Amino acid sequence: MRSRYLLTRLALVVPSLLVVFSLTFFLMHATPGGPWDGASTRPLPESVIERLNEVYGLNEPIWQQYWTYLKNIFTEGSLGVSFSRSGEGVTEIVARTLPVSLQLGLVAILIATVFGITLGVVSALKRNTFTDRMASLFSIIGVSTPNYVVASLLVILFAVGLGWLPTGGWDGLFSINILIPAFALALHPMALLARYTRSSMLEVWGADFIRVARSKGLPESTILIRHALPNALIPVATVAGVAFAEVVTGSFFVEVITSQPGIGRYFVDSIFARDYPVILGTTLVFAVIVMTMNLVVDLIYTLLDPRVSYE
Amino acid sequence: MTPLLQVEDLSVRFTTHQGVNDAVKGVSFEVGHGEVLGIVGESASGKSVTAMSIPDLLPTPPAEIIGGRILFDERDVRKMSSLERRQLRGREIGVVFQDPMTALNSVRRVGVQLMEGMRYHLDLDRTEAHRRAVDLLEQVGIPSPAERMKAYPHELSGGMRQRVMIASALACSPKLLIADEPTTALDVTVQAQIVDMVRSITADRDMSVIWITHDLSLLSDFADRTLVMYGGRVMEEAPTATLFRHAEHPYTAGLLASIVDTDTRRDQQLVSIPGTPPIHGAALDGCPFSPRCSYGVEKCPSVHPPLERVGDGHKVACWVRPFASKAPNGG
Repeated sequence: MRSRYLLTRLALVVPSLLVVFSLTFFLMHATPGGPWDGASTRPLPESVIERLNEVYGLNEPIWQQYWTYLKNIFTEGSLGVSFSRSGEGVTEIVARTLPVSLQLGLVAILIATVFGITLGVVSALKRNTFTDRMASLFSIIGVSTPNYVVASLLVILFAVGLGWLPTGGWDGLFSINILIPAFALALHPMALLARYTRSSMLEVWGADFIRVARSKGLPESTILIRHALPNALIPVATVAGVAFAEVVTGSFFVEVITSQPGIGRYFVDSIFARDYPVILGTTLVFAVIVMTMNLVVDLIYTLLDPRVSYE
Repeated sequence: MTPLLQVEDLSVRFTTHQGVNDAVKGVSFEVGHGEVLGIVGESASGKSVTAMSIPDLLPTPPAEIIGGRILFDERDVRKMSSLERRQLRGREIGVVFQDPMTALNSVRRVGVQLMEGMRYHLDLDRTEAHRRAVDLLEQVGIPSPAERMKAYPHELSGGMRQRVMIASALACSPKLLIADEPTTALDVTVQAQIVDMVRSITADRDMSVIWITHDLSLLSDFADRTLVMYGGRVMEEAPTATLFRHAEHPYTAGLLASIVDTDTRRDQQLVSIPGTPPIHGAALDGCPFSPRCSYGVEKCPSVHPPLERVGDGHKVACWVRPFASKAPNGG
């Protein structure tokens, strides 16, 4: 049954996370440099570094460190303490910043889905017309423009130039502050969805059952919504899952440019700072989100396609 | 009484980047009320294109009706608005397609797909449509129809799916049923059941039928009249019994000779018509069959013979008519 499948999938999350954790742990320790290298312009005295290593347990053997870290996760649910942010716990950082990125990401997903699918359907139905070419051009631009360019352009245009929107800042889900970062995040998945929807829709539109639906004299809108779309969206769901995982985990550039207190910037900052606990924490969060999205996509399959069942 | 359907001088052209293909050239025929017309021909003979142009189901582009008239119930289909044509489809003309495996939408329940035509055209509420749908499934021979309503297409066999498609085509009690090789994709035993079932249902309701097939023997005790098509043209048209006894066109004669039945001996060489049918748009001005015909005369490839009446309801398009009977009704 479906619940049994779900349990199996959930049980697999734990070993998967362990693999992600181990890989990240050893990779980051194998990377040259350490947490105290670039902390200030002046190099820290040898004795201070020695003391810091002792406090954070960094002079213990690597296996010992690995084991201690794992043990702390399971026994205390603690991901450790940030090296660079004087003592703030990683769990607290995640709890503070992840909700912001999640909300931003969800708004971006909503925008990407609505516009991306509409765009894809319209260009499929108007194949090889001016509308279709313009939509394709938009998609190509959307897929190939980095989001920091998009974010900067949106800030320049709508905040600085027209003055319609604030340049950034976080003021909750229902504030207009969210529009620029959300659109900047949405453009790439939107363009991706538009392209996939178009090709999938073109294929379905030529299918036999569409001709059968026509032979019943149904209006084109009914044929589109009831017959074509449910079939065309099945392959789109696959792409959407991966694209959305990326959006929800936040973007360093978009969050920095529009000053969002999200988790995205910690990914990048922590790596430059060799802030080991934050690197591990954010990576694990990312892994959980990707796995969740994959599971959600697989479950959505069963809703979209009755031929798929996990028994 | 005016026939239900009159097709006059119909021509259909396909324009693709590979070139122009005249799939149907000057085809005329009629279907009376309650009459069963069989259209027989090989692949690319234009039989499906002819039939699909009646309910406006040809893909346009690439297809285009370039000439002729289609009168359905004394109304000119080609002059109808797209809304009127849509109301013709499903409501007055039901269509059954060749491949039941792809004709149903795989993500929607059978019952919903069966009811949607009725709900749209007859404005039935859910309960009433459901009741009628269950009735229809029962009529087309589906066991435990009420449960099957909830099934998805992949849960039904090919024969069952084709029965569902037939039920769906019959749902609004159309005046004309167009069946485009509905049994080709099915097992032989299932074929016979489906043919019998359609014959009894349409006879009960006095429904007209156009049954397209490449299997002439299938039509022998089903079709009132048979139209033989080749290369986009009508070769011969006759009451089915007459066609089987006095076929006059060399092509029809060839088709009849190639029928294999239980009298055929095991060691007997099977008869076939030499040559291959034109892929499409054989660029002949004359008779499209002439390259394969062993009775041809000089003008056959260059001038197409007119479809001439040679007997009671019997028409032949052939300059030679090597099998013309000398009987009094032989015209």
